[in-house]
Amino acid sequence: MVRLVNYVALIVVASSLAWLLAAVTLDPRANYAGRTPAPPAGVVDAALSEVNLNDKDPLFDRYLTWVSGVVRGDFGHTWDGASVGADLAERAGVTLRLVTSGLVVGALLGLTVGTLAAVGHRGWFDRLSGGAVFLLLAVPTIVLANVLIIGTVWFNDTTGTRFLMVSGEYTSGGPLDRLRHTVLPALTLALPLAAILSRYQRSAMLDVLDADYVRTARAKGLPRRKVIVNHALRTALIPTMTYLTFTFGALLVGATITETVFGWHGLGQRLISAIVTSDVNTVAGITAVAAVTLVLCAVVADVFQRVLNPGRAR
Amino acid sequence: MIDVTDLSVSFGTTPAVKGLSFSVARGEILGLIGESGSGKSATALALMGLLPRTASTSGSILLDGEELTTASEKRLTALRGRAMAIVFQDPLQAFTPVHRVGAQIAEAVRVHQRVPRKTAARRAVELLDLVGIRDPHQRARAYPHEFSGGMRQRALIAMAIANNPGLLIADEPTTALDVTVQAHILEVLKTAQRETGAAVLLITHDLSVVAKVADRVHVMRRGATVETGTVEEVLRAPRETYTKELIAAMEAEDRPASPRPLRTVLEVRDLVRHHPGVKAVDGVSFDLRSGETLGLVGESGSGKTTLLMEIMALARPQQGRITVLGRDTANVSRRDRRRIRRDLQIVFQDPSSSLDPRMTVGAIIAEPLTTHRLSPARVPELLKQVGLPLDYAARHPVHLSGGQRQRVAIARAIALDPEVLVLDEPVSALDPTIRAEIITLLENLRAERGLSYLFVAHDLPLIRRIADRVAVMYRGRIAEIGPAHQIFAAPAHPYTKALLRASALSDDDPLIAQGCRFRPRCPLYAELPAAPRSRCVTEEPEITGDSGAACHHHPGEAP
Amino acid sequence: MSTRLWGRFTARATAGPQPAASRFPGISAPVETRQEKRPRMFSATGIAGLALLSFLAALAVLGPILIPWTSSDRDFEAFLQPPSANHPFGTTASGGDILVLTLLGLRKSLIIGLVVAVAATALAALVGAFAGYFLGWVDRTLMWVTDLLLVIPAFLVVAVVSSGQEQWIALVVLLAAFMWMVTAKAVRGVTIVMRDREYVKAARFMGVPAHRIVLRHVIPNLASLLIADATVNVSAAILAETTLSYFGFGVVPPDVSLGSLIADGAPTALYAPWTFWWAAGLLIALIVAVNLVGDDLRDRFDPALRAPE
Repeated sequence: MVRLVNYVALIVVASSLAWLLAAVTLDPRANYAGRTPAPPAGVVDAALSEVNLNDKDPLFDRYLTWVSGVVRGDFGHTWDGASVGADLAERAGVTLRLVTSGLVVGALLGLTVGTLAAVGHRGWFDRLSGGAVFLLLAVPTIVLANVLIIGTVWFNDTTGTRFLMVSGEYTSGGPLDRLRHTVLPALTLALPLAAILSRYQRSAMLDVLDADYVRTARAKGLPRRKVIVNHALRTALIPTMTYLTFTFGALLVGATITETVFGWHGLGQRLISAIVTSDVNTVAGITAVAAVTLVLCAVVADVFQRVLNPGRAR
Repeated sequence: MIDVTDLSVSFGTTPAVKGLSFSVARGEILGLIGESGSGKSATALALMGLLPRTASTSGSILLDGEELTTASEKRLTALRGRAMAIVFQDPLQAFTPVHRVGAQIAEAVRVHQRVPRKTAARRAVELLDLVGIRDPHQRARAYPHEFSGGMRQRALIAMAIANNPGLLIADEPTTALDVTVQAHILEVLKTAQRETGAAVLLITHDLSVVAKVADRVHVMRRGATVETGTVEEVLRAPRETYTKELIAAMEAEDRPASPRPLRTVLEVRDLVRHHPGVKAVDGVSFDLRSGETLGLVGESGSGKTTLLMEIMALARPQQGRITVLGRDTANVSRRDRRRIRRDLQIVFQDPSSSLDPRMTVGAIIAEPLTTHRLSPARVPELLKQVGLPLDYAARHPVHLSGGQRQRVAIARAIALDPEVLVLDEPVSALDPTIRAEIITLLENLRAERGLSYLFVAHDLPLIRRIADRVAVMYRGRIAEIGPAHQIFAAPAHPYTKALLRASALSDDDPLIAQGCRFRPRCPLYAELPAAPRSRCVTEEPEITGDSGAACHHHPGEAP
Repeated sequence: MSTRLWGRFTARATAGPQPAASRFPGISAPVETRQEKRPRMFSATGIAGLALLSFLAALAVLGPILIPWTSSDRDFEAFLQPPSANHPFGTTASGGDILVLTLLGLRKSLIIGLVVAVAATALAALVGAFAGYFLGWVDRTLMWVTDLLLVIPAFLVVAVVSSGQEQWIALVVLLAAFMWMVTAKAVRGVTIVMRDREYVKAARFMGVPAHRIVLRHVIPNLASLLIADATVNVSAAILAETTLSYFGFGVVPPDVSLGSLIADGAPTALYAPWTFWWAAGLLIALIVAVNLVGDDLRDRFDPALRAPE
């Protein structure tokens, strides 16, 4: 209960801070600056006040208006009058699809590589995957995304095929079409995730493979494969799964880059454009969504702990 | 059954076992004894074929005529748990934490016997019952951490004998356990041996364990054999000096009795410290006089450490009173507290964790001096006093041996010329031969400086040697307190008797809300007729005066 | 940004074995074979990392001085030209010399990475150690702030606030302010274990004041964790800075950073590869170098491996 209150407080304070910060720093008036003919100041003021973005209105009043709206489920409007709530709800779906596919691919890849590397400690696979992971971790997402795009375009141009698509979420909308669009952005998210996760899983497995109970399991005559799966892997998953839930939050940031580069109309892309167009309400709304997601991650991590580690809260 | 000839094991260039030969016949118990680093555990792992790949082995291990050193991994897997089994020393870690105990035992059954899941589960319950776990049906469904140390050790034995192995190896099976529980485990081990008729290899550093159960004994040191023979021969008439030292460390003379000094340096009255759910210290009173050594004994969980920490905190206790050198800790100013700290110092059990690894020995010993704004010029003198060369001041603790580190810890504790030294198991982390040196050092310091010791230990011969008075703690209270010679010669409390004789007490220990807290395990209570029994149930026994036993029925009390 | 999480794994790996070793004192640890001796001095990979890092730093510092072009120069005879004797790295679409631009970007990224990492790690050490040592309300307050900053998307705040700033130093402060939390949590966790270590208790019972125990006994013993996290933070800060600059929120013209160069170069990468690959390659090389050094430092600062004097 105390925890729940704390979570709610975190979300409220985080969103409010984001709103205030955005309201103080961003300048929605700039959207009208380049117009010819320049609209009269009064008209601009009225239009901005309409959507609660006028910096001439007292900050506190604007904040109250925003808060009372949020309480009623209304996240306010963009500078040109669109509803933030509806926009974000639609975009959340896009981001969720992207992050989920990245997460699934990355997690499976990372866990497999990490486990195999630990089992063959200091063997060729351990060394090879270690080197690959090391290189991968040094490639920033912005570079990785661009390299994937450049590589694919080059490949398409040279071979004349057009299987993988480098921009947008879909063109015609069929499942195969969506898949063609998803591969590259999902890889952009999955590869760095798999890289870190594999190191994490490897170290967790190494700790566990050294544990007394693994020796006990072997001493009772269990074949090595069974010992690794039933005793070692099962236990090593406990810290790794917790870690994985928390990386979900990091993936959201990764999604900002990926969506922007690949032209997916998700939350991350909206965040960049909202800052450019000084949409205070959108910025605060996205913060709220991110904060809720992170808190949910904490809750999910808790559930995982309980399921994986029965009888004891570690 | 097992025949080891000229076995050598080495890790890289470091030899762990050198040319070891022994054999154990069916139905026989061989005790393999040695200090840490003597190669006994490496021997056990070599027998099981569980040495890490980095180890190289030579020599021969014949199990029932079959050569193990050259056997394939597949063959070894088939033999492990069926032809030979091992009981590791308990630490919590011996069972996989996420699986139920019963399931892990049943798994051992199913690896080697083609039986349905249900039959294996039933067999697991039978095995738990055999090793004396009460309510085995329920207990089989528990997770390892829900077991006490003693129960886990029993369950490990149950798992080891699941397939009636011909060879049973027990690696330090009692090390992590309390004396009264140890006795139980050894009995269970004997039962297991009778049931299976196995050859048992008992590996331990504790001579008394070997003396109790083994037929023959094999003394190891630094990977090589020192001496071997029947238990009778070796313990009665050891041939080698090393064996003699080991035996000497096990026995102790009484400290000569002397009249109690008058000045009280530490007084504890009705001290209470409850943690949520645990009454760690629940009404403890004693006093320590100038120049005197009070030995504090008790099982783990009896509240010894909490008691020490309460004293060292120099703060207002939850209840009761602590008076150090005439000053009540409940109302001392911050400055006074600092002053008291100069006279009250502590030496911890494990010197590898009580010394800051990033500081040099010199800086460690100087720290109390500089903290109290004294010159660190005394450091060389202190080093000399604890028998360390002066150039050790520049070293880091990692480059010292365990015994040397404990000397540093002692030097730090005496740097401020304290009056009272609290010693929390100061030698139990050390090997027996080193232990004797440190004890001699402590005895000399006491004589030179007139120190008062509050000495916590679970090693009774040690307490007998060093203490003037002894207090036995049980579950947060003092069960018996009095002059050492009296307690050792004529213990009054049934718990003290069990401790001294290392006899088995049931390790089933429910929380008692009222009356005597020892009665669930009390052998005396079990035999009492109904009438005197009721007093144990309703009334908590108290100790009045500065010695006595908290028992309604000991000889000194009216029945 | 994701590399920052690498710190959790490494921190755990270094902090893990210590408590385990002291848990059962006096019981002979059976076979300690995994404790192979690690090199006392820099390992081969560490030396390679250090050499690469020094080389890059020298390039970043000296390069722009020695090259005849500056960041604002435009060569009106060479628009989007491939590498030549005059422009060894080629030119941009507007005739800028890519060599000097890339080296200036490298310099900026390197400075920002180092300053941010040192500041963030120092802050993390203090917050984490004090929270973990004192517990109680100190801990609750500090950890609430930490959680709050973790919940707020750092990217968003830094982007929003720095979008109006011309000064790159503001970016440094902002990045540092959002990069200490994970390390602080790790430090706090280790400190909680450490405050029950006997050497900390010994200091307490000796009368050493609490703040001095934190500064003298707790934080120095976290050195391996802190150094590991500091190097992790260097690469994380570089990544964060380049990402922000890529989107135009970090380093803004006339300053250049590797991130803004990559953003400028990406669209032309296919037919003018030199506009993209120099900056991308140098960025990767920089992070590889930092990570190599970081891995090695961690091994080196493990107190158990220090040579006896």
